[in-house]
Amino acid sequence: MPEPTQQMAALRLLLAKLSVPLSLRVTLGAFAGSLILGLVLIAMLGFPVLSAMRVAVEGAFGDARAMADTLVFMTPRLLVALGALIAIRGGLFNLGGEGQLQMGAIGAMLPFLAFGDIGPLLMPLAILSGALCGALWGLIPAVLKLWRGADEIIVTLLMNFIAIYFVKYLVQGPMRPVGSTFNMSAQLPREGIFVPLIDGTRLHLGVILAVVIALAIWVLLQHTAFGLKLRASGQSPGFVRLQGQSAGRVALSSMALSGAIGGLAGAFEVLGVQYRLIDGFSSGLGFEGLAVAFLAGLEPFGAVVVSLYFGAINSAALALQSSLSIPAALADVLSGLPILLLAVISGVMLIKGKPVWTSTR
Amino acid sequence: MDLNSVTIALFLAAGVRMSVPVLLAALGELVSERAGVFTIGLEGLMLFGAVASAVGLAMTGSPVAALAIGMLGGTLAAVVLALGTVLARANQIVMGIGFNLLAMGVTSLIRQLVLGDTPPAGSLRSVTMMKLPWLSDLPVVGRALFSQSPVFYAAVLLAVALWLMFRFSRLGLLLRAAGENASALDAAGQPVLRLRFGAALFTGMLAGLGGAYLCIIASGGTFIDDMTAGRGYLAIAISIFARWLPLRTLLVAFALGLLEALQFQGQYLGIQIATPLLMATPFVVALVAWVVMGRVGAAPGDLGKPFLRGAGH
Repeated sequence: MPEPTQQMAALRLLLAKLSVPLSLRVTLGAFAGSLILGLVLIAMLGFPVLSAMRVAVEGAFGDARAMADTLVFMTPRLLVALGALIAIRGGLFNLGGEGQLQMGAIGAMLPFLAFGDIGPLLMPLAILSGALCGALWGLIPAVLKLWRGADEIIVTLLMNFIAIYFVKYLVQGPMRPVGSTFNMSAQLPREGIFVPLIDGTRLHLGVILAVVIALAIWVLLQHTAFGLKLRASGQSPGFVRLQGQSAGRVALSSMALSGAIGGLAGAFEVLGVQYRLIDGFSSGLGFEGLAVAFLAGLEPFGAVVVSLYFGAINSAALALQSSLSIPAALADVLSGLPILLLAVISGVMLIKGKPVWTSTR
Repeated sequence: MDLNSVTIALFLAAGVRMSVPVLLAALGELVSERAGVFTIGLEGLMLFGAVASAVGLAMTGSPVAALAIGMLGGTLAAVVLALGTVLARANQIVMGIGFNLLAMGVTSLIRQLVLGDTPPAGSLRSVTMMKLPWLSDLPVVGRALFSQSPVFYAAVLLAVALWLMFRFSRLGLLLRAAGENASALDAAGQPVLRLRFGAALFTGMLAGLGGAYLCIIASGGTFIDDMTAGRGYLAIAISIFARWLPLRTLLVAFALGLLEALQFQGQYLGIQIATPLLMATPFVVALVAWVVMGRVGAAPGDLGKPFLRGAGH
């Protein structure tokens, strides 16, 4: 029979082994807090809480169709988040996810507009072109930063709006089919799109690719020389220079990669959801994706989990609206709340000298 | 196509009208950015101001009271935002993005649950139009500048007042110091957090008035979901483009208002440019200006940095 103090020590050791990292605890707290606030809100509005909870869970995960919807809502947010976290961990605050997504969507249309219906080659070309457009759009702020010292936060913020209006211009003019009155491009041919993988659902190839990309980003960051250089330049640019490495090259390649992934987010929306370029297809996905990256503690796998939450909230909100007439605007509330809570909690931890995450790690 | 003085006057007047909400928000953003707080949540603050004014109009029936309630709504929303960004030292960008999302949801809920479908009755003329004596009789400018909403005159006076404040007053100096080098200001024994908090509330008040203008004056008292449509972000771009100078902000906002008016009245003036390209120009111009200035015209030194005592530089 061990001494009580020994027992305590063993217990403490066990707890220490089980203990989750601070960032995870804080994040879970933020989500739990906002879900509770959401339920309180639903109750305050006079809706039945228990049946709302059931409808929400069924609406997000209940059957194949609901699950597929959740995953489809997850995909663009995940991709933008992955793009954002690469840039941020490399030391550049890429606020331009929205713009890179818009340019990627344009890029996905270009092969069809250039070559017409060229069969099975069309879809891979569209993916490539979407990534390329996003990468070019992402490179601009990096070049301006290195060349002119222009702050990338402000440049990417401004470039978002240029891209949004450029899409508006294209669908109202050059890309609009002759005789059409709708602000959208022509529809892509069937060979050129992601056809639903399971009949009766919206599940598309982009969902799977997005998760694969998350895995690839994790490998890149943690297990490659480039990833090490990237994280080092985010943490301490001076150190990278001392090592005789070019900080500029890391900045350029991380922003190009970041933009390419953001571009894929837009391309997959075109190829897998809309099948055409359409005005207002994004509704701020780029900004949400950036918030996802932070909620995920700038970790690729975290981003999968957090964007899954965002996807679930969005499909649950649709179900709540159709079966209980709870306004779908609740989705925005439940997406915004955890971001606010996490930002506040991590700010408080920063004051206490125990930062949960920093913008560059 | 005849370009007579009436056409020009109407075009200028429309430009002025469209510039007001963005001008107010940009002046607000300028103050908080000068004090070191990057208010990405400006869009959300405008939305709260707009919905508060719509509720105010429905409750009181008085457009003047509605504008005041809009300002109050923006200020209260800014309290929430500033508790995070200023006091809790939350990351200002992340906080702002979350706040904008939340604002979109909450204001839409308020519209659906509080505001009915019936459009507000009663005259709004007391806030939409105030002809200044003598001045409004002048040719062209009389109609363009001096037959506007009293809110427009207030915004112009405010821009001048802010210019005076930042240039000549002690408060202006303190605010600038809070944004330029908060640690030094703190070492001098000045209350950095109180200054930043106050600046953030002021931003909320002005953004709220901008939103209220959109709702009460520009769309007859009806709140529409996401009715700010990116104007908050445009206002941020303006404040940056104007290099945080109030009078330049006034001019830039007016120029952008003219661009916006061009999309409605361009055809009368014989100008044919695709509207979206027109709307993108301010952002392109701001970008070019930002790049050309490069390292020279730098932003306030501590812009976007939460103040931590002893963190140093």
